[in-house]
Amino acid sequence: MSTFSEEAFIFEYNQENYILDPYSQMFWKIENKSTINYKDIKEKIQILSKYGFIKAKQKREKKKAFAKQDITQLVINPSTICNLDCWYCYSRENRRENSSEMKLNEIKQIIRKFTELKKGNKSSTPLGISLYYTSEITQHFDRFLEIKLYIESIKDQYNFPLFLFPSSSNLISISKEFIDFINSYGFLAVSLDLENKEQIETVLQNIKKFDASVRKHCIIPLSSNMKNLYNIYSMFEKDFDYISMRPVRIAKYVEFPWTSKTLLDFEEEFRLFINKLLELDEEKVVQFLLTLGPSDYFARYLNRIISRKKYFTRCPAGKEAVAISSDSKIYPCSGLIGKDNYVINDLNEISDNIIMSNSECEKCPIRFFCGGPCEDWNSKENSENDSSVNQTECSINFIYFKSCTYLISKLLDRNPEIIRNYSKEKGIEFRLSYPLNFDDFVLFFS
Amino acid sequence: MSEKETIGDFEIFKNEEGWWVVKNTNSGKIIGKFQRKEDALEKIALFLQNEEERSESESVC
Repeated sequence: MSTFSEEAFIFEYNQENYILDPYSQMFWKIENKSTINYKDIKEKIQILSKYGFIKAKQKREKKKAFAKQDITQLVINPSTICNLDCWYCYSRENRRENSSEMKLNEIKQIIRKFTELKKGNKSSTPLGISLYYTSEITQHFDRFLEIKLYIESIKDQYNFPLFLFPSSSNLISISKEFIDFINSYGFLAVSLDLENKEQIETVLQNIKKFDASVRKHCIIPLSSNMKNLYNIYSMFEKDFDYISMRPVRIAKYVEFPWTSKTLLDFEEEFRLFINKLLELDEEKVVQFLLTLGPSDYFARYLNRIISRKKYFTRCPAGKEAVAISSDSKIYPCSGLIGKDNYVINDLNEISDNIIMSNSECEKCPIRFFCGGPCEDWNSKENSENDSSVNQTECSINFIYFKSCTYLISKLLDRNPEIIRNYSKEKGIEFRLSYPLNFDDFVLFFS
Repeated sequence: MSEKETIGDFEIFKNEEGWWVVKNTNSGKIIGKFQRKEDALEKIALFLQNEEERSESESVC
C-alpha cells in the first residue's frame, strides 16, 4: 500500500495495481508494470485534477436531515435472558451484571414516551420498534405478542407509521406461536454460532418448520479463526435465502481476538475466497453474490464500490436510533448498553452529542465507503479514554475494500454483464461505466 | 460531424453546426452543447463525479 499524494490512493492486490479517487470514489487499474512509474502517474493526476478528479471537494454542509428528537428506530431490550451464551455476544458482559427485566407496563410506557415525543414534534417519519436484541426473542415470545397487540391498539392515534420488528433468533427452541407469527410476517433472521455444532444441527432441523415462502436470513458472526469462507457461505445456501457474515466486535482478551497476526491470516483467507469466486462460472457467481444478506460486510463493500455510494456517517445510532436497556436507560446502540459514559440522559442532546466520526478518518482514502468509526467496536477494543479510531476495524475494512475492488475489476474484465446483471437484480446503481484503465481514462481528458 | 469519442455512458462529438455535443448513450439524451471541447469534457467530468445521487447520509451497522 502506498500513497504518494494526499488525494490519490494507490494500492496493490494480487499483483494488480489500482488507483482510487477518494472523492468521486472512482477507481482505475494501473497498467501492469514491474514498478509503478510515480512520476508518470503524478502527471496524469494533474491532467485529471483540472477536471476536478482526485481533488478535495468543497466541504459538504451538514445535512439538516431531521429535527432533534426525531427518533425513527427504537430498540427496546426488556431482558438479557438467553438460552445460549455465545462467546461473541455483545450482551454477554451486561447479562452477568444486570439481570433486571422490564415489566409489560414499563415497555408500554417507553413506547408511549417516544411516540408522544414524535407526536409533539409533529413528526411524519416512521417509527420502527425492535424488541429483544440483547436476549433471545423466542424466550419472551408471549411478551412480544402482547407488545404487538399494544402497538396495534395505539397506532391509529398517530400520524406517522408505527412498525414492530422481531429481532434475530438462535432458533434453539421455537413455539408454534413463533412459527405462526414468522409464517405470516414472511421474514426470519437467524443468528448462528459456527463454534456451536449443536446449534447448527438444531437450526437446520428447525428451519424446515417455516413455510417455504418465508425469506430466511442467516447471520454468521465472522471471527478471526475462520477458514474457507466460501464453504461457510455455501454451507447454508440450501436452507437460507440470504447469508450475512459480519466481523465480530470483541474485546482483546476474548476467544479468537483480532490481532496483527490473525488479521494477516484473515487477509489471506479472504484472498483465497476471492480467488474461489473468480473460478466460478458467470451464472454461479451472480447467484452467489445475490445470496449475500443485508448485513454482510463483503456485500456492503461490493455494493458501495459498484454504486459509488458516498457515506458521510456510519449509522443512525444516537441520532435517529436509540436502544433501551432492561433497566430503562437510553443508549445510542444496543452494543453500548452497560457502558455508563454512553447513557443518554437528555433526549435533546441526542442528535448533536453522539457523533460517530473522527478527525483521523478525514485522511482515510476509503472513508466515504465506510462512513466512519463504530463507537461500539471502539469501546470494546480501546480503553475508555482512548478516542482513536479502531485500527482493527479499519484494517478489516481495507481488506474488504481492496479485495472487492479487485474482484469487481476482474469480473468486469471477464464480462461486464456479470456485474451489471448483479446490480440490476440487486437493485443497485451501476456507476462504473467508464474506462477502468487509468491510461485510457486520462487519454480521454488529455 | 466529427468522430465520436466515447467514455463509459457518454459520447462527445462536434455537430454540423460546430457545437460540441455531449450525449448519454444509455438514455439517448443530449446533455449539452458547448462551443469549446474543453467545456464539453468538463460537463462529462461533472457528471461522472456528481455527488447528488450518490450521497447517503445514513448507513446500517
